This record gives sequence, C-alpha cells and structure tokens, in this order.
Amino acid sequence: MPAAFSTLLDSSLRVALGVAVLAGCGHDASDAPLTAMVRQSLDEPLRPVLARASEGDAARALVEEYRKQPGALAYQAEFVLGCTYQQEKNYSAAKEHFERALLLAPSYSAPWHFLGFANYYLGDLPGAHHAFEEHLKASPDEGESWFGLGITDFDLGRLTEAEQDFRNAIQRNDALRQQDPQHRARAREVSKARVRLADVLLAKPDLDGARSQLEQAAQLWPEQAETWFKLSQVRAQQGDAAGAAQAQQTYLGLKAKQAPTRGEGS
Amino acid sequence: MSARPASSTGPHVRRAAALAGALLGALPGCGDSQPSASRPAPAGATPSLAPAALGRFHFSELAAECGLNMVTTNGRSPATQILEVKGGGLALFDRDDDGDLDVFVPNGATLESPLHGPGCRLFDNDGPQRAADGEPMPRFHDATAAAGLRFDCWGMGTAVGDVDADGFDDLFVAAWGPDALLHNDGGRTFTDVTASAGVSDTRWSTGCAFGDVDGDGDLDLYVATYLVFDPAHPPPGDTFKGVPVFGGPFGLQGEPDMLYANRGDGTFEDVSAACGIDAVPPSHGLGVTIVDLDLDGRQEIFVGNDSMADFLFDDAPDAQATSGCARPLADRGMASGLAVNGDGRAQATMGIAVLDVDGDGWPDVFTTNFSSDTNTLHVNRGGRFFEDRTSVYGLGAPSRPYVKWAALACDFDADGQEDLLIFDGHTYAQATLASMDSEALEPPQLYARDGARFALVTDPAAGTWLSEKHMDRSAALGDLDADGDPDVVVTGLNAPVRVLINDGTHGRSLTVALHDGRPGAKNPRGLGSRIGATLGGRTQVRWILSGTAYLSASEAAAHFGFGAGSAEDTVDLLITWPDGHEQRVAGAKPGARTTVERDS
Repeated sequence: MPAAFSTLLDSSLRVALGVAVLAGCGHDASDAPLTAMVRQSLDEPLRPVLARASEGDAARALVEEYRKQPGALAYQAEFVLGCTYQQEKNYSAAKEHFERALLLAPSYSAPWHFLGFANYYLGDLPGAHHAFEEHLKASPDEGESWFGLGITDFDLGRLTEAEQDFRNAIQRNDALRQQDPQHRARAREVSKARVRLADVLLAKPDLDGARSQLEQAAQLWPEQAETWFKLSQVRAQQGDAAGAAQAQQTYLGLKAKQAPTRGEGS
Repeated sequence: MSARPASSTGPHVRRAAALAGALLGALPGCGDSQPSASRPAPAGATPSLAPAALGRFHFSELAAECGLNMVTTNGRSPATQILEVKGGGLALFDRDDDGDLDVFVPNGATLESPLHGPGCRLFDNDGPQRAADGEPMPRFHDATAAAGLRFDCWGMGTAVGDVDADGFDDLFVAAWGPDALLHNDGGRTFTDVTASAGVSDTRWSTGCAFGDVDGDGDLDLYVATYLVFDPAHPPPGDTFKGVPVFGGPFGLQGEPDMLYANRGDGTFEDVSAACGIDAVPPSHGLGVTIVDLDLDGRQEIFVGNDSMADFLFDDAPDAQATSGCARPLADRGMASGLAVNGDGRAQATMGIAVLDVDGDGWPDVFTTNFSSDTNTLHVNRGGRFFEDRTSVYGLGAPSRPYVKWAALACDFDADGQEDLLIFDGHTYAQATLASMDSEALEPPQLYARDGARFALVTDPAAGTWLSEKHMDRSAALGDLDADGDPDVVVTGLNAPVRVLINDGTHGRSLTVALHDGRPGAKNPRGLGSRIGATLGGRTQVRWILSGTAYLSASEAAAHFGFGAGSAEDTVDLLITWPDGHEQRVAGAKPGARTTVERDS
C-alpha cells in the first residue's frame, strides 16, 4: 500500500471509528448513518473511504487504490463508489454503482438500501419501493429502510402503509436510541421519522396527531428547522396563534443561521 | 369531438399529412383561403382512413401548417450566461377583436446586442380553417409590421390587459432592459406608450400580471424583477453537482419588484414603496399572478421567486389607505405556508398555476421548480393557510429529474378534472443523466387527474408531442381553433414556436370568456374573476387570471370539461367578478364557447 494512501486510510479510520459514524452515504431525507450495518459489511480499508465519501474525487481515488490490492472485492468498491456519488447527490451515477455491486454480490444487501434512496430521488418510486423491501428482507430491523419505504409509500399515495412504515422506523430507531441515549444521530433518525409520520397524519387529516408527532420530533432534534415550520403551520391551523408564532420564530431563527445553498433551489 | 382516422405512421404524422394534403377552404372571415396542396407532406406520411380514436390527450404540433413560423432568439446555444436561459413568454389574445386568438411573442436578443434583438412578432389569426380531416385549425399570418409593433429588447414576460378600457387589449412586455407598454390602437396598430404611462424601468424584469389590486375597478400592474446582471460583466462561474456552469442566480443580488397603480386612464403610478412591496427583501422574481386567494373580494399578489421564499402580498394588518397607496400590502407568504414547500424550504419557483384540486372552490396553487426538487402543490385551507400536498396527489417524485418551467392547469381531456401540463428543459446545456440526473433536453410532463391522484401520462396515443425533448420555457393556453377545447403554444430557447392543437378524443368542453361592457367599466375581460360551472349537481371552479404559466399570457377565458353526456345538457354558471358582483347564467351549452356579458 502506498504510504500516502495508508496514511489517509489510517487517519480516516481513526476519525470514523472515533465518532462511530459513517457519514458517507448521506441523502436528503435520511442522512443519518447505517453505522453498524455498513461498516461491518466492508473490508477494513474501505470503511474510512466511506467516511470520506463527501470528498468525491479524492474518495474515488482511494477506492481505486483499494482495487489494486490483492483480494480486493469489487462489489465493495462499487458500493463505496456509489456512496461517493450519492453523497454528491448524483443519484444516476450512484445507482449505477449500487446495481453493479448487487450484480456482483447478490447476497450483499447493503446496496439495496442506498439504491432505494437513489431511485427515490430519481423519481422511480416502484424501483425505490422494491429496493427498500429487498433490504428489509435481509435487515428487517433497519429503521432507516423503513423510513425510506415510508417516504416512498407516501409518494405512492399509500397512506396506511406509509403510516405503518414510519411507526416501524420510529420503533426500530428508538430502540437503538434507548441503548445509547447520548447518540445524537439516533435521536435525529427518530425525529425525522416522526416528522414524516406527521405528514401522513396531516393528510388524513389528523391535526392533533400530527402536532403530537412534531412536538416530539422537535424535542429530539430542536435544531431541525423543518420541524418547527411544520409545527407552526399545524398550530396556526388549530388556532394556536401564540404557539404558531413561537414555532415560526424558531424556524426563522434556525434558517437564518443556515448558509443558503444551491439545494435551496437551483 | 369526434373520433379521427388513425394511421400506422402515428397520429402526429397522419394529421400533418392530412393537413398538408388539403385545406377545405376558409371559414367566413378568414384572410388566407389558399389551399395548401403545395405544402410538402412530411416524409412517410400516409393518411389512413381506418377509423380509430386518438388518445384523449392527443395534440398535433401544427405550427408550420398554421403559418406560425418563428424561431425565438435567446442568446447562444449552448448558453454561457444566465440571461440566456430564462426564456421568453408569449401572449394569446384577440388583438383586433375579431373573435379569434392572435399570438404575440416578445422574443429575446443576444449577448452581443442585448438591447436590440431581432424583435417581437405578432401573428394574426385569420380564423379557423377546416382541414382535410374535418377538424378546425387556426391559420396565422405575420402582422408585426402591419401593426407597427416595434419591440426589440430582450423580452421576457408578457401581460395582456386593456389598461385604458378602450375595448382593445394592450401589451406589457417585461424585459432585460427597458420594459414596454404597447397600446393597442383600436385593433389596428400598437403605439409604445411606456414613458407616458409611467411604467419605464430598465432593470431585468421577468413575470408580470394585470389585476385590480387596489379594488378601484381598473387594471393595476405587478412586475417581478429577477436580479442585477450585466452581460458585459458576468459573475464568476459556479458548479452544479460538481459540473462547472455559469454563475447565478445563487449569490447574485436580487431586485425589488414593482407595483404600478392604474390611475384609471391607462397611466400608472409606481406605488411599490407606498404599498409595502419594497418592504420585502430584494428577490429573484420570476412568476407572478394576481388572484383572490382568500375569497374576500380583494385580489392578492403571488410572486414566485427563484431560490428564495415566494411572496404573498395581502392586506397589511391594521394599515390604513393613504394618498399614496389605496391598499397597503404585506407579505404573508411565510405565515400562510405558501412561501416555501412543506419542509420549510424555499424553492426555485418558476411557473405558477391556479386550480381547484380538491373541488372545494378555493384556489390552490401549483408551482414548478428546479431539477432534483419537486414541483409543489399548495392546497388552500380556507384562504389563510396552504398545505403542501404534492406527494399526496402524486406530483412529487416523477418531477424530480426535470427543470420545470411553464405550468398549465387545464382539463385537457374534458373529463371534468383539471390536469397539469408542465414544460421542461434544463438550464445547463451540459446536463446529462450521469452528471446532473437530468438531461439538457427534456419532454413535457402531463399529469392527468385520476380521482384523488394525478398520474403521469405516458400513453403513446397522446402523440409524439409528449415524448419529444426540448429546452422549453414558456407556454400559454387558448382555444386557437375555436372548437371549444384548449390548445397550447410553446416557446423554447432558440427554438421554433410550437402550436399544439388539442385534437384528442375526449369529452365535452366549454370555454367561458367574460366581457364587461358597462359604461366606465375598466376591466373588460374580467381579469381576476372566478367562474363556477354546474352540471348534474357538480360544480367546477376556474379563474380568469393574468400571469400564471411562466412569463406568458394565456387566453382570458376559463375552460371546463364535462365528459360524455346528453346533447340536451346545459351548464349553469356563477361568475364572481373581481369586485365581488355575482352573476348567474343558465343554459350554457357544452361543446361551445360562450362569452358572458356582465349584467350590472
């Protein structure tokens, strides 16, 4: 292994293991990690690469280095490459690599989860649904896959199924959170699922139920502007002007702290 | 509409060939009665007599056959600056009051000569011709010079309104560079009255709309501005998904919009500051419409901003009218939920459509956005709140890969449910699926209403227009061939203007236009009116609005569909004029066009 590459891997590995987070496979709706599942599924040299996925070309170069090693597993490389593109929100490219990984190693289920999100963000709802279901066959307790299935079912107009998906996501992620209450990512996962469950309840419509979910979500992740926005809307519709104003102020305050990005529009 | 013959070569080719074969002669009043036998038939066109129905969403692209030959100018291709990619609109209006729709295209310019492009074009409709296949078709001729129309700046948005209530619709053109108000002199010629009317502005204006904002009966004008931009000194480049692209709009300075109050005589006063328009942050305005969203009898202004929160200007709480402003306004977009999507995220709003998606009579708002983002449907909850119901209605995920511009809400298949037609095309010519999850050229997207959801139409029976890829921008609705159903005219970047004639096999349509001919009436087309149409106990509601779509002016009319039914059926109309006056009209016949004269 080249010295520079080794150094990068070592430092990244330390970071990755230090925070116990593999942040490389993020996505809009669920940028929380599938820490254990993904990390355990990879050769050790690839784990820190995944953590560096946001570095794009640099991460891809590291994968190429890995590929040159004896015994390098191509399906893992494809998967990590997919994650680097997914991190850049380049879902077409990510999808291609996830599908290659699945072709090379059909029993390796991790790519299904991420393929689900790639398909979702490419507008392929049936493809997303199938991918999440495939992953859940192998990992039925993966809350984030239930979350992905939930947003897909919601877009497909299957409100009953979406509600159950999100409740499954909450249950699974909350169980993990109970094991490690200080783990902020787990709290965020639960919070996000509660926000999406609130979307379903609003559509039914069940304003009280939605408000309850949003208030719990805000407690779990008070820095999430989206939650406060939705809460302000629900409270306003319920006639709680003061509560709505408070939530809106919180929302606007959080948004003001955020640097605007192209993701906010074009 | 009757079923039409099919062809093994496809309905689009078949129709074009049939039309190329012969026109059966002009209807009375048509200026061009020359048979078109000399027009070459498209290669492979083999008209068939085999009877078969066209799809319910079938359109035929007939610009050439209609005589509307124009290629727009929008800088260069591929574009190198943001000014080149915003496109330009068009207007469908009866400029000479002869009963049919004419077409105005302001047209753009080039970076080398941004203030002097090839100029606008006006196409007069000579009235519907009857084609060989028995279907009507408009016939246009270029009337630009004859009408004395001169506008050669970089045109963007267009609004139509009779600003001085002389009975003829005038044109406002928003531009990069000087805007223009072109007064219609009795249906014959146009005169540039920009300066004398007080609507001179040289910033980059985009969307524009007429409406009675201050409630005095005449047509006020709202003009959205985009951003500070000098093509001689373009901003640094940017990247999108890692790909180098031209700079903007992100990071560029927005501009304040303008509200012009009509003094009642077709001249205007800029009341932007006095009425609160300047109180919002300078923005990247693109889309605008003026509509009574809370059904309180007063018109609100909805402004779509690119990459920033949208605005909803409504009555300023506790504010009193002053000598400088008859109706103080304040932005309540955020409080209402309309400013951002359901996640609280500002979007790159471009196109706007107003429709009643849930049949409750309240106007809902649909907006189009950039790629890797969805369109957004805000459902109106009693006028005060808007809920993002994009996903619930099936309008979210399928729209993600597209850069979406003009939005047309209309019951194209006349089944009694409004559909949504969106015209697409990427901003960046470099776009590929591999690099940006989008292609540079993109097809339109038609969402057919199907009960509680919309379904993306992919049926080949709709014709080739739905799968052909373009870099489209704007579009406008209007019944060009006077057959009662809505047709569409589309503009793209440096592309031929397309005329999509609605010739599908569908239900009964009814087009309702309004006319206020009372002495002293100052909004003759009833812009801002709400029309309910009731048949068999079911009421549909539409609005006659300025703005909407994207940078364009659609026909000032409401289109209804009623599906199949008895020839004896009649429709009861309830018109709520912009001043709140309600008028009931019984006995409208589906399958036709009707103009309702205001009663009192």
